[in-house]
Amino acid sequence: MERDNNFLILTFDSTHHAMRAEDVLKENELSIKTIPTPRDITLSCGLAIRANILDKDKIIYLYNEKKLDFINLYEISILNNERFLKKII
Amino acid sequence: MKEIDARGLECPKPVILTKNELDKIEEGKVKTTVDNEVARENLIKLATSINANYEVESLEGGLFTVTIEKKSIEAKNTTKKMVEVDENFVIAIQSEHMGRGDDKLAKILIKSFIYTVRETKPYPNTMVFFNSGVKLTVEGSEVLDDLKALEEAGVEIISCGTCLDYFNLKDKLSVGNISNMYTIYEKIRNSTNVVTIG
Repeated sequence: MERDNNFLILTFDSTHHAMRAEDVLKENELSIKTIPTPRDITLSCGLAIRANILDKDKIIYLYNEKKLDFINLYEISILNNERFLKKII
Repeated sequence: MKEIDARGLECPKPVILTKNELDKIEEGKVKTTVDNEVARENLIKLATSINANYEVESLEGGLFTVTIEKKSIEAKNTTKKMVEVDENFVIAIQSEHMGRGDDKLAKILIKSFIYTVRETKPYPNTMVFFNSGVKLTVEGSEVLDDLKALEEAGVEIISCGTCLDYFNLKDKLSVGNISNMYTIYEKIRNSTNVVTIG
């Protein structure tokens, strides 16, 4: 997966939800990575999914169509070694 | 540049000859000609172990030349500072699963673990993969990007050759080098801080 300073983080309320979402996103051929939830996000289980910023609309679409379930969607930007967290959903 | 003709010499002779020449100089290049792949790989390992740049050329008749460039101590120190590697820390990964209980969960945990290694400095000196752990260093592995980044930053990635062979994955290796039990033991023995995961 492309490594950049701007990406999405999806959070879940259980490990099972995270694993299910991983399957759904892979079925939809999105480039994602299951990672430990970043420390600056606290309201979540231990696993999160990191996704490409270019897939933002696709992820929101899947969420609205109830094909994909998560608690929050964040956009993370890293600027001069500082992390900025923006909650999208 | 010093040139060594190590054709026809048995392992570990080519490596010893090359190391002796490198020890004699402060900085500069040593070019060694060998006639087999094992000797070539061992020279590459020598170069990596002394943190030197190297170039490999394949010649006709199954010959190879390996040119190792030794840097002055000053230049070496600057590279080391940049990569932030803990020289004494080795991570041994013995399975594609992290812990026992549920395999699906265990696969996710190991991905998560390797991602975290990449995110956290200082990096380990070496990561050793054996048994089904080698499935993480081959084509199709979901942690290849992390492992490649770690390798680029100076972490040595080693996969057990016997294990790759057992799983029929020898030609699928996508990051790091193939190694044998001697090297694996050497890495573990030379470190006081070895963590086994799997």
